[in-house]
Amino acid sequence: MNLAYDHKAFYDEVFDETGQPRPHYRALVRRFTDLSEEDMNERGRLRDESFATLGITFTLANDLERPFPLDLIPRIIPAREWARLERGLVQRVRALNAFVDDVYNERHALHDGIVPWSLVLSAKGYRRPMAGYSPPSGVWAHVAGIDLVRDENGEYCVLEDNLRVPSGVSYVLENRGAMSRVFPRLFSDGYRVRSVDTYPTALRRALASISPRGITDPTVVVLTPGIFNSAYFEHAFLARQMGVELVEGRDLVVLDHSLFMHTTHGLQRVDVIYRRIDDEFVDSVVFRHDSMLGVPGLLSAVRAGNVTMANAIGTGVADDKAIYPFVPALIRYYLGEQPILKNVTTYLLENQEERDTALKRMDQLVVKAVGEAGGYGMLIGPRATEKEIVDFRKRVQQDPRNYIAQEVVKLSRAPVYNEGRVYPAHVDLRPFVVTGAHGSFVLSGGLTRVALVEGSLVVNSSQGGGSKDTWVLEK
Amino acid sequence: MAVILLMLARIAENIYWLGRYIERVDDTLRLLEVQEETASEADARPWSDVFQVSGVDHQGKRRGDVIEVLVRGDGSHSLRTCVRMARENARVVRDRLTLEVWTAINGFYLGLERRAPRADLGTPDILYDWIRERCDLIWGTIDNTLVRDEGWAWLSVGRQIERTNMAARTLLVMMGGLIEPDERTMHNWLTLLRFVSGSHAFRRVSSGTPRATDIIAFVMRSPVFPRSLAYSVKEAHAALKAAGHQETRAARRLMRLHAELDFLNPSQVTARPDTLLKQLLRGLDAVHSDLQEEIFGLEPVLMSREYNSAL
Repeated sequence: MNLAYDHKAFYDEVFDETGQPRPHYRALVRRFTDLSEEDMNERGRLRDESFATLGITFTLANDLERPFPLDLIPRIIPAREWARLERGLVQRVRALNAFVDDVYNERHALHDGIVPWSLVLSAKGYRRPMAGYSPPSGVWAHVAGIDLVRDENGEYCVLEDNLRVPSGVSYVLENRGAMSRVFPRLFSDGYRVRSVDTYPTALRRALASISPRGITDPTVVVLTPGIFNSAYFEHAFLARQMGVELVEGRDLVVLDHSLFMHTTHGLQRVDVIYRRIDDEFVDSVVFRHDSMLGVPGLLSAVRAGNVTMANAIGTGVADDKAIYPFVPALIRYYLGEQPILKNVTTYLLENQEERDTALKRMDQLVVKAVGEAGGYGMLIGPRATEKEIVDFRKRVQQDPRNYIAQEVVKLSRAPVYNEGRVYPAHVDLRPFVVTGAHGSFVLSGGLTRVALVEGSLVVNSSQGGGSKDTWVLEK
Repeated sequence: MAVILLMLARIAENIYWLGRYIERVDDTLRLLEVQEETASEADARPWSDVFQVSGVDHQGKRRGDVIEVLVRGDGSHSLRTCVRMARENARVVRDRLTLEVWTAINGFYLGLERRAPRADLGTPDILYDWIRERCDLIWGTIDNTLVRDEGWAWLSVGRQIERTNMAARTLLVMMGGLIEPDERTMHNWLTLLRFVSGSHAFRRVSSGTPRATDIIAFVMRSPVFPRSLAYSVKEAHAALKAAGHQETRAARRLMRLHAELDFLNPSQVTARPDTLLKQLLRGLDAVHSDLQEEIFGLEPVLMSREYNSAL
């Protein structure tokens, strides 16, 4: 296999400016160069078969289950590079947790003018019923997925924070499993790759540490919307790996401000609930009345301190895209530290001055609706038609609070293998940060998502994205 | 780390149905195989008997109809549907199953969906052998890898109740027209034994010339034959006890059914097999309702289908 291609124009993960493999990729490139096309295809078949048999799939809207697409060429992050990222991620999550706690309690950052009141109170993820609530150890976002991209100089920037129900971690573990089956020798070829399978233990420890009654062995459950949810595979995976019960709303009942589950031997108390359901659906008494997925009265049990929910309700206020531009300032404000990871340059369209500039330059910017996720509700200026731009401009003018604009990041690229061809594709990285009473754990690496459609910038699996096994090297 | 002692009622129900569906595939397959082997013999059972045992309401009487509906098709009574339902239930309880059990079930589903629609009607035994191996693989991995906790007990409850149900229905249909046990019909009684996979076991435990009453006593209440009605009812009771539910109405009812079978007089059976077997089937239905009301609770889960009780 020849991995070389025109690597200019973007930062390339594998090759440097002269076309030579970067030092940490040398052995890997050598190994892949030795593989024939038939060999690669054979391994591809092995991978697909293994995913299908294991049932590692995700479900598209109105579609059947599909195997999660895993590219055969891994991504490698050297130890020193990762150490810096890890510090930056923990720093950011600490500040974000401090911010959420502040928003629902004293509101120092608002009084001190760090973030405008109007933005916080109008954020879609702001939950007024949580005002005055203090979760155990002050942790709100127990599981955070921070999306990173690399710009044309290879510098990592945060593209967005996911503090509500970030998903994808099961694919990190399953990808590693599949790669070691498909390329057994790669892992003994001089690379020392950090393990990823400590994640479930770390998550379980963090969840146990936030038990409301201070008991050492609390009953922890994972709450799923059910088998028809696209991430059901992951919910079952995490419950199984942690050795805890996977529950649905109909298994639970709140009595006297405490949470119980229906077992074959009657009701059993639940202490910690790792929920994979959006805020709006968790409690039909307080939020959406038509929700059948949650548990009526759950919020009262949380507020009474009889059950802890992870992530807490209301964390969405901090991952709102309009709050995002303020995160570096929040890091300075709460921690008194300089941000280690930088943001992508972002314009708040609610601000008249920034809006006027941005509206003129829409063909050069990415415009995103603040409440959307998964690559929906987004305009990529340089790729958009004249009509799309005019449409989007109208939408922005009608509801400026609902949009932000960002400079186009020239996402880094890495080679992917697809049907006999190697070509460069854009990648991002979603590391996972788990926080409990005893601090944060960062999963080594995370989910590298790749835009498999050549030239595309959208890496979301719902829109044709795939993934790569991500190696963090030991020193 | 804490051992999980309690089980969600909903999960128990899914596991119970998982057990039932895999057993149903196993039993339906036996039915098809024996019918295939014996169809060319004199006094062969009509193919429509297979429909009747499976609870299929279908006018077809030919072999092709049966294979089309039960094997190649994906209607509500087909093997494919049973396997798909087993897999759906397994997906729901995926966190309770070992990787080995899950891949065995998922591989069964994926493989059958590939093979069944293209199966050769002329020589279905290639497919049947494969299905047999898959069923054995699933039970084998369950036996070898699952923790003996309440979940395992529920698999067993489902399996034994389904087995009793299928065996009783098979006897009910296949004994039709065999009321007079004498020399001339002996061959048919031996065929009946084959339909409940009991030929080998019967030869092991009986001596001399077999009599019809011996065969009836054997399939109804043999304490050593794992497919006799009394045996599987007893196993269902034991499993329910292992799940910690010996004090329930369902458990007491199973005990009573077992006692009734155990005290059965074979000549009574030949005199009125319909009444007895129908009584047993009604008893099993009642056990199922008891489980639903006392233990599973709530509304029934999606992943189940009772037989139509048109028999």
